[in-house]
Amino acid sequence: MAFTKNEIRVGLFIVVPLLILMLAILLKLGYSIAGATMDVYLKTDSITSIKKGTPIRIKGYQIGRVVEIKPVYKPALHFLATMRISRDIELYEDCTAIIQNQNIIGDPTIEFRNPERRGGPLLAGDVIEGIEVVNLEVLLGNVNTLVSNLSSTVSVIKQITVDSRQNLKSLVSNLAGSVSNLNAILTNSQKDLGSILSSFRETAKTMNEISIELKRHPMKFLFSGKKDSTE
Amino acid sequence: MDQALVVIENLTVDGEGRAPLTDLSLRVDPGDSMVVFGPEGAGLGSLVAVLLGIDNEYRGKVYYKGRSIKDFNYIERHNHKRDIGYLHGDYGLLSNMSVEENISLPLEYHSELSADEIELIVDSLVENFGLGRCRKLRPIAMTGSEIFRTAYARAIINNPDLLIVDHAFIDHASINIIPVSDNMRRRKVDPNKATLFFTYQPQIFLDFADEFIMFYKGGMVFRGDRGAFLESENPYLRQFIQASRQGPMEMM
Amino acid sequence: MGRDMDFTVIPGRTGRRVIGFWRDVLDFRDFLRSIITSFQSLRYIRLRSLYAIVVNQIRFTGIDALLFVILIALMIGGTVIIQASTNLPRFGIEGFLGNILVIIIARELGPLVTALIVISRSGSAMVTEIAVQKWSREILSMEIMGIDTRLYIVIPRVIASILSITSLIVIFDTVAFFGGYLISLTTIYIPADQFLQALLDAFSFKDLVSALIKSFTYGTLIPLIACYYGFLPRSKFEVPVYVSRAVIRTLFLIFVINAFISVIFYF
Repeated sequence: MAFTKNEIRVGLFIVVPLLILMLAILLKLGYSIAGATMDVYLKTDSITSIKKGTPIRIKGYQIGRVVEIKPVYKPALHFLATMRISRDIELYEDCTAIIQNQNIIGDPTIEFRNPERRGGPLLAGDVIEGIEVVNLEVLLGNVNTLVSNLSSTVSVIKQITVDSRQNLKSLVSNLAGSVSNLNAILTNSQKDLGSILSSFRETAKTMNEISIELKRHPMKFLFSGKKDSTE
Repeated sequence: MDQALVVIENLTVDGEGRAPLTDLSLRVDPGDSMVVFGPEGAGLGSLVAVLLGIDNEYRGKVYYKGRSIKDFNYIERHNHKRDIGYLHGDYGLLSNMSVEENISLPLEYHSELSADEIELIVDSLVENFGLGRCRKLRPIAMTGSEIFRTAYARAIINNPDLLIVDHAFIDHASINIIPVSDNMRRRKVDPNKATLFFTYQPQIFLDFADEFIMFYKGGMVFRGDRGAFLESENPYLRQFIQASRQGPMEMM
Repeated sequence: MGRDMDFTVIPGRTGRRVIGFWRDVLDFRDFLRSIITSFQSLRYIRLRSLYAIVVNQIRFTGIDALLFVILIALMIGGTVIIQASTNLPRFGIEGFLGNILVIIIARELGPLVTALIVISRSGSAMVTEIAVQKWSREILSMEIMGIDTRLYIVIPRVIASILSITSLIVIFDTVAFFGGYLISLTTIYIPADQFLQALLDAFSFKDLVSALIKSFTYGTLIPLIACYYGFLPRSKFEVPVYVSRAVIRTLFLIFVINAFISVIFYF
């Protein structure tokens, strides 16, 4: 049975939109019930801290990874990182994503935090603005300066006396303790990086005072044993 | 009455917008060929409307094949129209359909014939009525006689027992409508078929009709065979034929 | 005397208009009844005779309008996306662009603009076609063939309009989404997969049901009103009057129904 041109055109006109409609329904259905993961997007101005594979955590528990990073040229250059995360975790649309480091020498990570006032659930395709809380290079620079200062202080003391080794030992051990405390703080509590940095400044200030005191009254300082390092 | 196709008893039609008919009685048997004529307002249109079942607002009785037209239900009314062949002066070809679509429409709509069977019937009619040239054309591209022949072919496609030719068959060169004339002559001699010609020009139908009936103001004023029609001194008939101002009829 | 007449003019005219409107409503109701009565003919009608009318009507209402619909969809889709991306906060635009598109185009503009196009093209053409058929006694000729003209003329047009409007709405929405997206790339960059995902997220089955109900309602009402007015003219002189009346009243009714359906679904 031959169809006329009209019949074929009309058939296509009915069938093609019907297929589009069915495809949309299938995508929607598949989308809703299928994946154990969903993709949400992280908007960030720079990608110095994140890369493909960067883990995504909530309260330290890993819930996904960054799978793709794309530059967006308009209206101003920024980046969209596709984060594939588990659907099992309840996340809310106003949650924050903090780009941070696990510790001073560790890999970067993206930490999710749910808002206090919970709104609608976070849906696939939602975009979250990334917040970078620390510049690791500056931090490492400060630590490097601190260690150099310590090193020079120790060598000055070494030159002054060998008798006061015992006191020096305790000073060095105090300083080492100070550094390890810093490390512990960095590891356990990256929330208050401001206070960590001020702690560094305090330590550096104290070291400076020790150095000055040693230069001015070396004997008095070494044998009195009154001054000590401070965190 | 049992054998009659149409029986009209004391038919009276009146009311606004319609030409009246007064106490009309008429019988049409199979094999009859009648010309019904008269001036404007004589009631020809009203009679056609009643016969076709379009107008049911009348007094008296009208039977078609023994059944009262007024008593038909919704479906029967449509089937009644289907059974009567009807050709009107405007021809009423559907302007968005080709010749073959116009001719096959009644069968496409009503019959249980297959598409192939319908095509065979249409082929035969197209050939008989000389419509091969315009078979795929729409009415806009056809000549007047082609339109007429197509409309006639459509009117008889169901092989109706009663054919009503309503103010058609005029303004055509005889040579162009030979197939129609031939078909009407065949119907005239067929004892099972009846034809009613409603017209203002009864002379045209002398070859196709046996009986002539004249109406004036809703009443029958003349009835006779071909001979009577030609020779009668009936004042109404004479005035009508001679198109004279002198006579019993007033000009509308 | 003149002052007395002034007092009666306004209420008189208002009363006449109200009575006229009410008479139209009653006439339309009778027309609908006659359509419903004509369903009896479905018992014996051969549906093949309606097939050609449905195909021709879909070609005219749907396919012939396709280019027009696509162009308008492109312009509207592009405009909505550009306006949304330039006038709304740029932060997170990618996330709610899908919502904006679904709300503005799929829920409202798609069905409404498609209906407007169909009314202005096909509705007016239907009125004219039927009026001319009536005037040239084609309809009478069909009736005398035993054809139930209410069924034969109205029903295929309703079927064709429902199918055409549904297809046109889907095409309009698709073109508006993706064509608009392509146009919007000139001003703002949104990754295609992200755009599609946002659309899918924003699209709900309620939107689908609402669009289908609108398609069905418009597809039924537009040809019904067009056929009603097509049967009314008694002379050629009246044809343009009834064409104009049919278009205006259908437009008004469609806006009212669109608002009504939206309120029912989304309020």
